[in-house]
Amino acid sequence: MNTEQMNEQRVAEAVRRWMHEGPSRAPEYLLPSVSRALAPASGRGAGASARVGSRNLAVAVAGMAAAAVVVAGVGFLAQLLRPSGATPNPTHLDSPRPVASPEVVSAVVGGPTLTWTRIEDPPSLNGRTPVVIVHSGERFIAIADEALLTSIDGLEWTRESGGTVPLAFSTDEFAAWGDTLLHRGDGELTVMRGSGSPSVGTVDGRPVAAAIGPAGIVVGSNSQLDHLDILAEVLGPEWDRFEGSVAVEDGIMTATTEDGRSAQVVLSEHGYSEEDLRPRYSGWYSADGTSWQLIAGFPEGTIKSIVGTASGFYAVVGYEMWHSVDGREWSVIGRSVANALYRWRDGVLTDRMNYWTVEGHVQDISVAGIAELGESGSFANFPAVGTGPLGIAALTVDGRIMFSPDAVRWSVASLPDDLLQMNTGGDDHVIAMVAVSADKVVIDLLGVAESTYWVGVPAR
Amino acid sequence: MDGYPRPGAPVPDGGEALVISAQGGDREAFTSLAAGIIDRLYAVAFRILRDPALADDATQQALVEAWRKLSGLRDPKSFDAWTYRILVRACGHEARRARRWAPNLLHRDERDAAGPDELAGVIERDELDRAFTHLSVDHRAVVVLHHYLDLPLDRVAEVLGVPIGTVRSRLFYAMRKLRVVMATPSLSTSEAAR
Repeated sequence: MNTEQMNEQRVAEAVRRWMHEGPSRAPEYLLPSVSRALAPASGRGAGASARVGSRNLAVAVAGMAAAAVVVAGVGFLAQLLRPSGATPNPTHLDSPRPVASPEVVSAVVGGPTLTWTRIEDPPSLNGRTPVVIVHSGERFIAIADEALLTSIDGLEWTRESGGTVPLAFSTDEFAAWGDTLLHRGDGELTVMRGSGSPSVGTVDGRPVAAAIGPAGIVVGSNSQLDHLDILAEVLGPEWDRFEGSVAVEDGIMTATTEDGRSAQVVLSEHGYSEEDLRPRYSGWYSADGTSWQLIAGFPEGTIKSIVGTASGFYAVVGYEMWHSVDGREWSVIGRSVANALYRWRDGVLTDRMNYWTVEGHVQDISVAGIAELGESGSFANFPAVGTGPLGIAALTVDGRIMFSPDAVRWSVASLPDDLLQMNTGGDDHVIAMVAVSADKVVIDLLGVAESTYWVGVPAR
Repeated sequence: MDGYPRPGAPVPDGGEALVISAQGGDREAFTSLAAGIIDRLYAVAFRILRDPALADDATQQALVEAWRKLSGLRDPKSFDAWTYRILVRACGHEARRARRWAPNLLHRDERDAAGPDELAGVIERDELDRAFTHLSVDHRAVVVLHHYLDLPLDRVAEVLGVPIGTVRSRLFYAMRKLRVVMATPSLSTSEAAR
């Protein structure tokens, strides 16, 4: 055995030892918690059979031809197209939900469906790097080097420095997407992101999700104290940013920097407790973006996503789906294991391929007909999803784009080679954003390809 | 192995009947299945995510997802392996969510609970911990399934639903990174991440 082999063996043994440290049992509360999260089984058996049948058929047909269409029923399409408020047989379950009839509609349309154009440093961007591109209020909106720009066609951009910009819904000063809320007032643009500063400072805590709807704006915030702020306050500014480890034990925070420095902070001596470092979530409402009020009945728990739609706000908090017509009165409408929501028609799509309506009715959306996605066919597995008037666009981890105009008919197409080359692979995928207008799909990569993005136009 | 077979192994006698019952909508049957596997799922999730709260969420998410998709499981005998695959996927979701929102705050009591109090051991575990959390979840999952559950590589491939060549490659890559870190105790986090 040579030195390298011995070294390998030593490391494997160390890893094996290390692996066997730590808990081997789940916390006692976990199983009851799972049990509570399981929906009642009413009607499930019949529905299960119908669903399996649909999937098998879809897979089989997808294997036979690239351009196959599978229709297992018309209920789902009707559901998607039905005006808000007219949904019969509302249910309150999404995992799993009762099924009355074969309902999953899946379709595959083969072949490339989008023609891509690389837009590189367009003169109208004036050298700015777009870090956010969304579509709202019938135009694309970009944030580029602290400037707000809008574009009707995704090609020519106009810097908005005055007047009103119809960003979204009934208000013209806000746009919200994902964890980002844009507020433009008095000629100034404020970008509020869940990931950090700058913040408008009008909402206590750190915004973790925000949404805009006809009734106003809702922001979910986390009032957890930032341990780096405490370190900087107590130990000095040089401690506020370092690549080291922080541990808390018995009310003492121990910080160690990469260069070997170490310091301790007794939290109570500075008015803090360990509890301050744990997340506490709250919801804030504003009709105009200037005055904010704490939402009294806002759901407690981890705020995963909030979306505003014409039928009100939807929020996934913990494992529950909540809804509010006006942003202030909230009620739970069902259970959900979703992490992300996307505005779609009058309801929301989830990253678990469900479509929710205001009544709490849940409908599966199937991409099972696309054989190569297999069981992993779920928005949760896609690095970026965008919805808009044209439909739904989702990037797959293997570098393709799925597109559907109606959540029923799906197509899979390649992404441009030059876009794919930007992706470094592994777990460090380039963060992409997808914006969908009435006739285009725009893909923007963050951190690479500055001032460059791609515009896809579907084939007619 | 305590209490339940390894993923990839057939479910035990009676387990298959429970799976079939659960597929028919029997919640009690599924709860029984969950009770039999939850400890092992949590232990794997914890080792992949290195965070008890994230492991909580991933385990719960995986079991709820398993219940929801159980009707799509064609071979009841593969319930165990199938559930682990869902768990690994749930770990991926949790890791991405945590990377986006969570501060880099580690609670020492959780990390060092079972370890000896020797400085060398602490340093070794600390370095492993850092290097490990900079691996992708896919790579971590291979290490955990192989070195914690003692699954042979073909079983790991079966559980993860990827070719065995991919498993070998991920394991090689992961162990190489861990080896580099252990050979250089003072290696910084950023260097380890490269």
